[in-house]
Amino acid sequence: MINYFLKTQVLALSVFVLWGCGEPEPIKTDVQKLETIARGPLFEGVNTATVEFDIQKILPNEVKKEQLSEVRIKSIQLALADSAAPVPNSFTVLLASPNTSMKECGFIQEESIKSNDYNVSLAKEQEFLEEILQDKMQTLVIDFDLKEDWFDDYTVTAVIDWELKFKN
Amino acid sequence: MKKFKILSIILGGLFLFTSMSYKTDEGDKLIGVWEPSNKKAKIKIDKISGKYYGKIVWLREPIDPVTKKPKTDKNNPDESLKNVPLKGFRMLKDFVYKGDGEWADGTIYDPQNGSTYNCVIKLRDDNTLDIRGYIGLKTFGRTDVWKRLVMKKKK
Amino acid sequence: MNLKALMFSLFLLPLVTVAQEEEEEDYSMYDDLEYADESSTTFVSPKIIGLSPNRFINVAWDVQSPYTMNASEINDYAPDASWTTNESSNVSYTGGLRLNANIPVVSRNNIVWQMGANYMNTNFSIDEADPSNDPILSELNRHSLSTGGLFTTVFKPINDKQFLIFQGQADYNGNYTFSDFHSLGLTKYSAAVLWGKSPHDRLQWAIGASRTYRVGELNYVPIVMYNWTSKREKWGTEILFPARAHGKYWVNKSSLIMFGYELEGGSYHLSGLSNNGNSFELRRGEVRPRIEWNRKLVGFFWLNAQLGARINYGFAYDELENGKEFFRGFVGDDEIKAFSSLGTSLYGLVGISFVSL
Repeated sequence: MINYFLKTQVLALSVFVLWGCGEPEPIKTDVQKLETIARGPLFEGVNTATVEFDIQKILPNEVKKEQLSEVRIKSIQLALADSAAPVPNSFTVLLASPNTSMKECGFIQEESIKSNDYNVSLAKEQEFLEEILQDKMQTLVIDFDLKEDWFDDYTVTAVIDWELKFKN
Repeated sequence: MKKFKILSIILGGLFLFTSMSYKTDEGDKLIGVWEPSNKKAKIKIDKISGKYYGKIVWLREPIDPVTKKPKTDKNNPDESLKNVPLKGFRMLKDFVYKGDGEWADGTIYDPQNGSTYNCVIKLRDDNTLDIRGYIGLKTFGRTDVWKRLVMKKKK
Repeated sequence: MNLKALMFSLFLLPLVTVAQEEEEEDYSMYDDLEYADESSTTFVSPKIIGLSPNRFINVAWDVQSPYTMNASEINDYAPDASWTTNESSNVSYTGGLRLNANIPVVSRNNIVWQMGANYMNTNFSIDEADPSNDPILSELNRHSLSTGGLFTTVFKPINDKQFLIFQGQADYNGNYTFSDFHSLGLTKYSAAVLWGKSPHDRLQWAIGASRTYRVGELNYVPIVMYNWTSKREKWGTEILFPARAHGKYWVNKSSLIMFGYELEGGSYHLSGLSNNGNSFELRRGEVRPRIEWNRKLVGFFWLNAQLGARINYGFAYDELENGKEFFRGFVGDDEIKAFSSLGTSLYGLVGISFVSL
């Protein structure tokens, strides 16, 4: 049984709000770093690491998440926190929230992992993100297919580069 | 030495695990590994942030006969997700326990045609689920019987 | 014994005996699990991979290009007798509405039972049809031909490979209107039974027999079903011979092209030509070679467009004594009351369906 563990680390370095005329206005934020954890011991096969977070924490004070509009993910970079942990066959990255449906954001195939490329291939359709981010909380879910057993916790770090806009 | 470390981790985790497990939610009866009646896959249902989700953890035929590679979600309506591995794919999503052995508000995905259906799950007995996928109205649907799988008893 | 097995033997197994059963899972080896009580029975699926969308509800409009229709005088003819044209006219419009609903009553893995209803209307606009000189053409011009029917289909799997299909249908055909119904005694009953196998996910075949009015008059014919999809899930066949046979090509998961033919027809009571309790019946049958495009619109709503030829198979008339049906078959010599011949026309059909894949 995999429990999910909440540990969010938010880096919000600078925020610029550009004014427009009724159009959604971009919010400049730094990347968001989230640590998803699958509680060990884990066994060979598909396992899940999760973390709950609130997108509000990386938004500037004057912007409420309910105002978010035209949200996209520019990139997600994954990394294993423990270098001794087994490298999985694949990763699938999903987002969920209490009042929306869980959606696939992207994945990393075995070929990419073998060539040490941990950039997530992102879903082209991302319209669902707005609704998820506007919800009261968000859950990042990372499914990974382990090649061998692992007796410790398994931490996957996700660095998400958001493209956020908001409406007044 | 490493084995002792592992042992201590397991014992610690186990203690925590068993002390929590007596007070499980009624809805958590859904948690576990299940097999659809066609026996082509095994689905593990877990709970994330209060809702229930099921992912494919085993496929009877894991290799695509055309590509000779592990099967992917080739029928996904989003072209960019057609290479998501089918092993691990979440085909049950967002189920909420409604009481009286029923989970609803969720969806079931059919990887064979890339369609997502509304879905309601009923616990017929502790080890049997009636899973009905439907389109809009429950009339336009089909019910399958899933059976619970457990670790083999040691002989 | 490896370390994991040792851990389970020493610690996990004794503890899980007091915990709930779902906590006993060994997630390491999913292919080495067993049933908590007993296995479910595997039944063959009514569908194969790549089958065309199953239409729950369908609304369509069918239209034919103009053609010439000839009719003999109303008399008695031996089936192989020659006949001469008594009436001839241009049919400037033939077409009408088609509605179909096919609703699952029971849909489980061990049985699928569906009930359905259909309504099909065919209007003829026949130029200069004169009731005194052209009784048959005038009768067709007077009221459209309608088919209202109820049907039921049962798919009963026998095991994981074999299945049975039963189908029954009651059609009420004629040039009736909603204010002028004919006797229900004129209802036409069709039925079919098939036994078949599905050796794998992409093939199902079946053989059986049917009682059918598909080419106009009553017939008893053997039927063969052969639904197949290629390994790449692009090409395939959907055949229910002799009623219809199509090849298919999936352009993508939202677009399907089919090419083949369908037999269409029925036996219609024509009230204006029926006397003394007898039923004057049009035995109408046509072959429709065609190309068909099925395209997903949104969600489970699909567009269905057909373009093809309407080739006359039979357009003959029988007079049923006291409305009593008879079986002529392919070799019977029962007399035919009148004939019509129809020129071949192009036809098109556009419909919207609520489907299941």
